[in-house]
Amino acid sequence: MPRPLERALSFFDRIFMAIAQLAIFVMMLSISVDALGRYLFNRPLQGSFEFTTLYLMVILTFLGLPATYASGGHIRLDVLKPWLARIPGNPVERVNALIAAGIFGFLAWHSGIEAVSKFIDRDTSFGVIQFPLYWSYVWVPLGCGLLALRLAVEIVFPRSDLEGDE
Amino acid sequence: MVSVAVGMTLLLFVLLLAGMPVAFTMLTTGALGLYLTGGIYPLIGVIKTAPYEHVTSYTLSTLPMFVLMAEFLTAGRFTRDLFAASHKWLGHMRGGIAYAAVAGGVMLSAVSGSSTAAAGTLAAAAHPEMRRYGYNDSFSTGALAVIGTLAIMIPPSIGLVLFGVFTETSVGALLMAGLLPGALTAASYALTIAFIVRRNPDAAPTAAEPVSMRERIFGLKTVWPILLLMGSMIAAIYSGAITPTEVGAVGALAALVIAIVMRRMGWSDFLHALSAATRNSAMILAIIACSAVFGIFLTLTGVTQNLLMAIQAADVPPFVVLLCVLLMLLVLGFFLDQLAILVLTLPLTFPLLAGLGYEPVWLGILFVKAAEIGLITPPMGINVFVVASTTKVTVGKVFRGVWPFVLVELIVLALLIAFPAISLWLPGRM
Amino acid sequence: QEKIVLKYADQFPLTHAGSKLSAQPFKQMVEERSAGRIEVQLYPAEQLAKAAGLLDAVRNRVTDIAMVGVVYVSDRMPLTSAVELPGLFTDSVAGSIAFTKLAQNELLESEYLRNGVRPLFTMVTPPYQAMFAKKTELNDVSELEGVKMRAAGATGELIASSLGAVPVRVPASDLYLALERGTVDGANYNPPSLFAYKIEEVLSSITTNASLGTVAFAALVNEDVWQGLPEDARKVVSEVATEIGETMAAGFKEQTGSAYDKLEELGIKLIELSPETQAQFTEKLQSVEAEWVKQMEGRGLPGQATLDAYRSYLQE
Ligand code: NA
Ligand code: NA
Repeated sequence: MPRPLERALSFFDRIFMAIAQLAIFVMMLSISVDALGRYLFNRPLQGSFEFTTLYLMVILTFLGLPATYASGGHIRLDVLKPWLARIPGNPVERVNALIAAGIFGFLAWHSGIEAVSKFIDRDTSFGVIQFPLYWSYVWVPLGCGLLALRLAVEIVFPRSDLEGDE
Repeated sequence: MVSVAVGMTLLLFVLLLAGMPVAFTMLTTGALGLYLTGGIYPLIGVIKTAPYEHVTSYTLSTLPMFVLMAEFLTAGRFTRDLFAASHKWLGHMRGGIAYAAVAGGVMLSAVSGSSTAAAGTLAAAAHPEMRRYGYNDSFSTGALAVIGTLAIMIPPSIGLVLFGVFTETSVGALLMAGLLPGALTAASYALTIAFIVRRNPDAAPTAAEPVSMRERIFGLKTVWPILLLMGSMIAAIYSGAITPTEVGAVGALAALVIAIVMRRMGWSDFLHALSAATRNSAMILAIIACSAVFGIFLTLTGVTQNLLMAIQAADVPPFVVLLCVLLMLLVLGFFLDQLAILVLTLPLTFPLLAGLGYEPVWLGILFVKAAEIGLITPPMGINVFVVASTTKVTVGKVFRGVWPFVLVELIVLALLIAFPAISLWLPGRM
Repeated sequence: QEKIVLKYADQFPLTHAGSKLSAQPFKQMVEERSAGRIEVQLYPAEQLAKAAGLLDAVRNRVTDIAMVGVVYVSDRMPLTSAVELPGLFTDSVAGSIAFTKLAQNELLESEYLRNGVRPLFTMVTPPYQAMFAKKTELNDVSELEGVKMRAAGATGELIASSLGAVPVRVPASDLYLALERGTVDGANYNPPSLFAYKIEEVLSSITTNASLGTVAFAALVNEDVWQGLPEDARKVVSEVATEIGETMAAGFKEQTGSAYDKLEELGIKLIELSPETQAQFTEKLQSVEAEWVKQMEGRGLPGQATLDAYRSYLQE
């Protein structure tokens, strides 16, 4: 992959990954404060349940997705690797990237439309804390969209490392 | 409908063999299958919501939290010390660390309800040590993937709770029922390890000579924090201070605090642990999110339902029906996540079998055991994937190490079928 | 004539009352009365979508009909959540009929058609009751001060805290263990559903005449699917829906009655609150309704008018 392209994609990968890391750390704190507060002081952390499920889990999954793929973290079968790698031009990897780019692009597009409509409606939950639910839906299109971009680039510049690079 | 299901399953194989990441293959074939069975509306409707819905789950938060705890323990070098100590004690035996991993797996299973989380934790903790002491990669990773499955049988177990919820069977009785089969399974793993290292001594080299007793005791010095942590987590769950869902988060926080207080974790260790935990969690969660699309596709084709109807219509002896259902669970286990299998099949299989007079609690153990075996069978053995990704050993190598254990698992399943008392004796004492 | 296939999705296992009283009779009656022209395919137990995603599933035509829990959609159907407020009714059959009227009139455009769905029938459960793992008496509301009560949703949290209790969110799969081991002291729940989770095994007592809110469900059909159905098919579905709306609420009410018998048989103490205690509850619970109206009006929604309309339907 040409360096400027790689650097641009990695830049966003890293930002997304940093937010995902923050999410897993905050999740640990939020659930712990809820559980320990309830046991020790009879004061659970209200809203921890919704905050964890609606935001932190989604952020962790989908913002962690592009960087995990880029670093070869997604598991795949490698039984045919020695043979596939010998075909000139790496056509199998290109086709993989093409299919995956298409499907993740499709996912990002439609979940993006969904997210926009939630923002327009400003859907908010009722309760002790009124959660702005529209902020729960933006992470799917963001993560899948960035992944689709990388995959699209890989159609032209297929990755040579089937197994990952760490 | 059936032809689409078969076609998509074949395509799933092809894409997997072509080296496409597992999560992507589930999403691709699920989406294409949805389009072929229902057209554009179900496709768009499912793809934009199902991956999101399946990860917005509080119970599922247990998974990243246990992974994070494992990474903090590793960054604080506690797990390494645990296995170094067990190597001092058991290392002169062949396969010592593997036995230590079985013991560790039992302890982890008593705090974790998720097999995937347990496998990830064990792999991160034990594999570097096993490699350092010269264990064969296939053997060590295979054993770790298998030992991780203990978590779904030994209570607390997400699988047993789910079974109880779906079938209106006593959750308390189910959890009690899981204890003996869990112990039996653990013992069978230890026996398998003993058998493997006898037949192939190179798989697990022994240390040169037994370590002195003084050094062994000295080795325990850094082990007590992790034992204390495990002990307090078990105590916290059984006393009701913390729910099984929350214990991962509190455990991770405790591991972090212990590591910082004992000055065993610097800023860069912390960042590295956080990054590794995020990566591993995001990978597992991506598989769960993407397999949701494939699961809904299978549901919409009605293939599982039709199969069960056919069994019911054939009017065969009850025992044959039971075997057929278990066989179907094992076959589904090749492709699907354990919880997905239970969710897909229980609504039809349970009334069918309970109607034939089988004891629900016993059925729960058999179902969970069958789903457990699916965790380690190719091509969709999620525990194998988790271990492979954590250890950077190729999936193929892990699967090779898993096979002997799969055979033993089938024997254990046969024992559970032949002797219902193994499952039913303890709940009967309640 | 071409055969019409309708997909019906819900969150209940086939063994659950929620399925036995709605999805299964709906399928049977529609298929019977259309003389086989309409086929209803059931997708129980969250097979097609998680409970929280059923509205999206029917909106996006993943399914044609879905039984949607109102508690999960308080963001997109905020005014509908009025029917889950505590103390509005004692007879859940009347509550269900009033809810259907509200859904098909005042709320039809703003809450249902806006989301691309149309209500077929609705149901509210009999009022929630307080149940305890150890406690066996409840003579004064002050006894709930600081007691950890499992609350099922956001409204449940407000209800518990208005009574002085500490609301705790526990996933349904953890509730059994949480009660057994004392993570929570009790739960606000409806009696028939607790058998599905074997909660009766870990209970000591349950109230019989408290009114701690309710859970509402609405069977929704995709509006495009509905408009695409031939007139005669719509007629059959509407008729069956109306009947099920009545029988389901009645069936659930009946199950509540038999649930108490079963619980008493198991040695669980039934607590009947004295009129004085009930009055204390009612007074404390008023803050929940006030908070609901405040939040709705704060979003520019006609909260008070909706409540008034619901109350007037209840009077009928
Ligand atoms: Na367990
Ligand atoms: Na498998």
